[in-house]
Amino acid sequence: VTKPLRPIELLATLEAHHVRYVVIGGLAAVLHGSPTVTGDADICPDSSTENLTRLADALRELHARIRVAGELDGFEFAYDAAFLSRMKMVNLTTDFGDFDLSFAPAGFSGYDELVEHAVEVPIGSTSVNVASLADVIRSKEVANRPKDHATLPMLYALQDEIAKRDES
Amino acid sequence: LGTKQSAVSNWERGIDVPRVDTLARILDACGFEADLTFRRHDDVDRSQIAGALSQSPEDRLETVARVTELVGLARQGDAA
Repeated sequence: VTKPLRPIELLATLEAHHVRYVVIGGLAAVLHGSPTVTGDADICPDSSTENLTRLADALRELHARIRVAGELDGFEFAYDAAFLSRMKMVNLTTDFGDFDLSFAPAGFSGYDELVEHAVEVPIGSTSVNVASLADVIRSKEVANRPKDHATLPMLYALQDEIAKRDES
Repeated sequence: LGTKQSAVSNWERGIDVPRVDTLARILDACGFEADLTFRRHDDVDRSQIAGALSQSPEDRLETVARVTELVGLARQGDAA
């Protein structure tokens, strides 16, 4: 059975291991104020070897396994930078729910491009880098999947509401 | 305004509406100006957005956690 998503604990584990990343996708939208609900956490990690080593340590602590449809427990993989460096996208199941790593999300080359416009969002005693709402929207427009079509009207409306609040 | 009384009467009775340029003249005469904003058409319930924006980011994440837990419990119930 898939564990419920516990994003605060998940992100806290990444922070504890000093992983550099940008929160993307549905969770980023939620952090910007979207009332939509997401079933997994997506991040775009910095792909430097040092950072991938820190990320691998965090994944070990999270008991991460490769998520595969029909395989409830998922598959083991090597918790090391070498494995992660060969990946473009990894879907994982962890102690704190489903967790996806995307090294080049749709519309972007990777961490360096996303972090440029990312915003720091305070969560508890720490803060995390979250892709800008404009970048979240752009990625979903480029991905162009049915689930993106379903979410985009809400994100456009959110962008509009935030702009109105900023003006007033 | 340079408008006939009968036209004004029609606006007042809801039979007709002023053209955009006429509306601009009416507003100008009253000391206002029109500010038109184009927005994508959507059927989004913006009160939900207002509710989410009033929460802290941490509270938004707590909401996600609670909802996904409920969804998981519901799925377990369906499978049983």
